[in-house]
Amino acid sequence: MSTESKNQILKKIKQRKYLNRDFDSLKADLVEYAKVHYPNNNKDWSETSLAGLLLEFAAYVGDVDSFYLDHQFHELNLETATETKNIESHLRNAGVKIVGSSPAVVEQTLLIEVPTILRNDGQGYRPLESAIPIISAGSVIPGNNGVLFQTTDDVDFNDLDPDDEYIADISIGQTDTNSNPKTYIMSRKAFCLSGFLQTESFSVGSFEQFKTYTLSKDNVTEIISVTDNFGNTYYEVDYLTQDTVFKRGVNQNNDKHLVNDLLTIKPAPYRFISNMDINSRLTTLTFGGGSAQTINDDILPDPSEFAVPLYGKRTFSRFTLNPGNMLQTTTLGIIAPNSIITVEYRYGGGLTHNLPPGSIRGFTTLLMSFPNDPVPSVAQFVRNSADSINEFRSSGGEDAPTIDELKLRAPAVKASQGRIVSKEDLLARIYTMPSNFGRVFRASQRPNPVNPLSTTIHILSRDADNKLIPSPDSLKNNLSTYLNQFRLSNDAYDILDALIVNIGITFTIMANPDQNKNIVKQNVINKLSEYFAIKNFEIDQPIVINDIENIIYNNTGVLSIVDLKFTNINGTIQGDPIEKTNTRVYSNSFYDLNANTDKKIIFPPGGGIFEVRYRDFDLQGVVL
Amino acid sequence: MAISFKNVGIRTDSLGENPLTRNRSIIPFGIRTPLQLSDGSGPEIFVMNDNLKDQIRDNLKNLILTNYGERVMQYNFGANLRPLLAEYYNKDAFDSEAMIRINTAINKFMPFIVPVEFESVENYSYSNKLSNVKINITYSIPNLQIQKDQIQVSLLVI
Repeated sequence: MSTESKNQILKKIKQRKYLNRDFDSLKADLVEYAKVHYPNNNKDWSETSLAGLLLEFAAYVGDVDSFYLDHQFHELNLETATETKNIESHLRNAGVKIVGSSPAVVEQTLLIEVPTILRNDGQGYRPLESAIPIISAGSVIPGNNGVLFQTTDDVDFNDLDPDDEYIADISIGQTDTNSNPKTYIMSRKAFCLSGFLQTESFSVGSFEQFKTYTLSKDNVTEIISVTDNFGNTYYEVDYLTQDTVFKRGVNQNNDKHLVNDLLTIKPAPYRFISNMDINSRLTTLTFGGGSAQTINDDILPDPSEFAVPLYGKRTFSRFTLNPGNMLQTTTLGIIAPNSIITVEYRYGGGLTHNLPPGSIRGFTTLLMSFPNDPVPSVAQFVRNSADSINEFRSSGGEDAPTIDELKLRAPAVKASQGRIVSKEDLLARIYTMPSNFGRVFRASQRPNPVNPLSTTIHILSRDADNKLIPSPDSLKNNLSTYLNQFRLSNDAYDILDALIVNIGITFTIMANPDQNKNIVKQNVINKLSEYFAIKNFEIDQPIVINDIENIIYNNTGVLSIVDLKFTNINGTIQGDPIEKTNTRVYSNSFYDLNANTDKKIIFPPGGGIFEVRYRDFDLQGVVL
Repeated sequence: MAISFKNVGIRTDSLGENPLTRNRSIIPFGIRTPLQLSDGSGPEIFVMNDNLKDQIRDNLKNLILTNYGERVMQYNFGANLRPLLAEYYNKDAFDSEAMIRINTAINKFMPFIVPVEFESVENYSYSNKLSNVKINITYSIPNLQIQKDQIQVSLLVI
């Protein structure tokens, strides 16, 4: 063959194209290719011919391959994935928890009627103590559309505040002929969740690693308990490698009226994870990979147990081992073989669970107990009197998020993390601690001046009157337990009370003569009051005197500021019966404001916060 | 050291000896249908159409016998006569609709053909109790100066 012919062949071969993706372009190229390479074998490559048909088959295969390749690439990306199984996998990898419809929550007022008894001193009546009950968690309250709500915590009407008064609101019920109260109506608030309860059991045969069980109801909102017939409790964890869970216990300390529960860490050798199917919204529980029959005290497997003893040998041959043995420890949780596991869970939710005020009433199931053993007739009377009503609408009920909605959540979840690295992480963790364990109102973080490896956290809380108070010790203990699970191993936190600096402001201003001086003064006080509302203040936030002057100047009728003074108020100021003022209790912090004013900025102490505690008294002014 | 002949391969200049690329005196137009194996006297595996007239007749027959959806990626390829046979009850109605469909298919896929006559004959087989319709189509191909060539297709009434 001549060099020219060889080049022609090579040129033809080079004409192969690899950029065609669809049927038409592939077919066109195949026809062109066939015409070039097989001119002497077949002339008719039209679509009506058999040769054309065969080329179309080939183009079809190429088209399908291209489509498949494109599809697979799209499936690698959450935004472009279309197959629900792949979307589900992407969402799990991103950390998005697939949830079903959400239940509604409502603050329900629980009411009981109890007989009265004359006080010991003969001065008035009090509720008959033995008749005061506890309404236990799990009592069921019906909504008017058939949705059921369930109390989440025990409600003890016997609870007393620090002044030994009943926490429950008490009003007079029935009276006798002398208008003396025969019964009192006691009421307390309780949070209720909507949904239905279900209990299921299944048996576990011989040991099975990572046993799974799918609950029969869809849209499971909460797994209340998982226990087996040996008395073991299984705890839900995010990942099977998590070996501890937070557990709440009742706070019996003196600050129990401020902090309901204590937070503790509990080992969870028996544990499971739950996953919801994105299509069926059915929940599957996956239990641990270890057997309870091989349970040992090691949280992690002991590598020394895998060492091979060399009895009287100086050499040893290669050997095989089963890495699966490593799983039969508590590391990934355990399950009790040959047991019956019972799962109690709540399911159901949706927008229909959001009901208007007054539409959730009475009880379907009333779990009432009397700690002080009343006579049966009294107990029956109190039981019959029990009622409940929602003063506010139930809210939070949501239909199950769609796949698109779940996909939109992924970026936000990816950006979040389960550990504390930055200052923002730390503060976010502090503020998101569940409120049952106490609520931190303000927190700040600063380096510890003594220990460079430690960080100081200043926190404070608010009392029932929205005034700042040092956080209770139980809250600090709970916070310590809570943060400990998220901190890096070499981080240390010192949790301290923030210093509360109570201040007063006295101003003297010149008003426009054509203005009512009292109105000008009141307007200025109102504006200052708004500015110093505690919601506007953070720990370590300074006061810029020019800002205050600006606020004063920006009131109609203010001509000039003659004087503006900031003073530190502390201690207790007794009320004056003549002036009809109550006793005012300030923080005990002494702080020299003048010494800490620089360039007309008043700086708080490190980890401190300014508070105008009693605005009616602490903001005073004179108008000339 | 002996070298195996299997390692030699062929030269590029011997590509001309490949049956698929061998020069022929008559270049076939296409594969004749139904497929038939050639008698081995020629280089082809199958019997081929050696003239354009036969090739066009073959293609036309296949076009008319093809129904919608039978051709991959070309749903509308064919005359789609089978649905008509499923509701065959009136010869005139069938003829009218069949002619429209055949004419449409020809105009779309083989526009160089001019259909001239259409004739259908129904046959009933008492032995297997089935009817079939034989359709005779007469056509011309002006570009090739072919006048009144004819094909016959047989369709089973279902």
